[in-house]
Amino acid sequence: MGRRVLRGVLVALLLGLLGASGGGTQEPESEVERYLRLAREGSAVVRPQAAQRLVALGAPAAERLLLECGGSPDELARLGRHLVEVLGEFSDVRLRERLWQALADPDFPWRPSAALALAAAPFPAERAAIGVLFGDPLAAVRAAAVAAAGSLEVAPDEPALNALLADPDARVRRAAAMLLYREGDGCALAWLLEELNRDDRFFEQPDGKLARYAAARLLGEALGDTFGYEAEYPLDDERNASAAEALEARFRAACGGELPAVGEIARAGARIEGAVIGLELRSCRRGEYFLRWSVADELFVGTGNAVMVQLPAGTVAGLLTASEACFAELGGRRLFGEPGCDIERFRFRPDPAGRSRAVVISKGQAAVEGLRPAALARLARLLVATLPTDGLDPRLSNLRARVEAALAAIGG
Amino acid sequence: MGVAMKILLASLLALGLCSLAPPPRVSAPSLPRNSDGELEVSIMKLTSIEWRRGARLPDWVKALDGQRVKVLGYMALDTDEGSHSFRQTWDQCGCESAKASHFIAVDLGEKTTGYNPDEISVIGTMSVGEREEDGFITSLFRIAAESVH
Repeated sequence: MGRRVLRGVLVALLLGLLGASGGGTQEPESEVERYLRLAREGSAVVRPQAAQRLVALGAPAAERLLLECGGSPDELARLGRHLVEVLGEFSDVRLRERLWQALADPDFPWRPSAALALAAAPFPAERAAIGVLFGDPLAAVRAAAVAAAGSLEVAPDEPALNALLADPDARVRRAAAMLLYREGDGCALAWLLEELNRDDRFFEQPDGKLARYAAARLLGEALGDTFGYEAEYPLDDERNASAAEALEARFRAACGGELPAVGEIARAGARIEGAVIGLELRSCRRGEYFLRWSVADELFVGTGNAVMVQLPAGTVAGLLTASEACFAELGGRRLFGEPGCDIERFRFRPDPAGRSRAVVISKGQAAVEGLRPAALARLARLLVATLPTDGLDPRLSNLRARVEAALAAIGG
Repeated sequence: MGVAMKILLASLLALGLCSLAPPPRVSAPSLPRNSDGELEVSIMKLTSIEWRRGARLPDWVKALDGQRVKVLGYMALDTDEGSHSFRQTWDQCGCESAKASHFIAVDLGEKTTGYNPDEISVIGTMSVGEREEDGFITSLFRIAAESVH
């Protein structure tokens, strides 16, 4: 064997050894690390499943998540929505502390998820803090707080729950009605009955139908039967006639006779005709707004039984001209930004009987400079200028400032 | 041949015939069929079913398998430009559509799309059942789309 051959063999052996001690023997990814990665970076449908797998792993996963959480809401936010949402299921006091700390920060992007997480097996000592969340500016947090109150081993604050039956958001009203019913107040079912009658839309979006399905599901849980009610149709539709009779009889019996009248805000409102411009805002930090302008110079605020504000004559004609110019300037582009929890959706339907066209701005938890194109920024300013600054209805209270804050949080 | 043997043979024959017979066809769903012969499926009704991994699906849902359907709904916001597939959801933001039973996976085949924020109508052949990839359920309802408008 020549020297050259011997050197070659030695080099090969050395390389083999290096390979064995380096990249070639990389530790296989542990289950905790794999699920942690997938819960953050997996596809939309995989993320929540991976988060649940972590919960199933128990204490080792909880310790790993504690490390990831760090000591500030900013670090916790980096876990993402789906991981934040399952933290409460570990029943770990340290993780619950992190969640409460995050909820106290109005700029934490996953406050609804943190509130949902806390709703899993809350401690009796948290009752007062949960009660404070009944007044949270975000409807999703209020609804989660009601769920948390329902999971407590102590009785919830009934007057506070009753007040939530007049909440502007249907999710909160439904959750409050269900909890009151479970606590023995049969008359609270009146609020769910009203939801079964909803048939409202936000442009093409069938919000009323969504409310019917949600209420029917809750009633099925509460009564064990919905008597053949078909949520595809409102309760007063002839296809639901026999179900309506049976449900109403059951509700009256639960309330000892007559059902109470629900407040204006909770009533099944009529469909709104003539809406030509819409603005839907979903800010993970500043809440949700649903605004419509009609050809009759009306502004409608909210979904369901939306509150109407009469605008000066000619207002909407001016907005229509501006919208047309704006949509023309944007050309065919329909989405600005990246998919995320912050969404602005501008709707334009010059023919009220036609279908609307939409342009969407969206982003994740981080701020993005200059996200809203100039044409939409001009239109947004014109739309905001027509909003009332105040009103008797809670949906109008400080409306302009709240919408401005949501717009600033999304499109900048 | 004794009586007992005859009974045994008859039973075996009956069992054999049963196993050869096609499985009982789940009754056609009581959904409206339009003039083009498509079943008009409500995405909200479909995605409102109670489902957990491994659970039996309602008969009316199973009966949709292989049917030509038309579904109105929205495209999930995470649809990238040039995608060959997307999730169809019941709401405009797709915010609550992360569970496998909360969306329809639409396969466009060779065609591609970008995000469309308007209400869309998908026509195609539906398949129903848990699809598992890498240990996770990635869809429950699927449509091989012929058209998306």
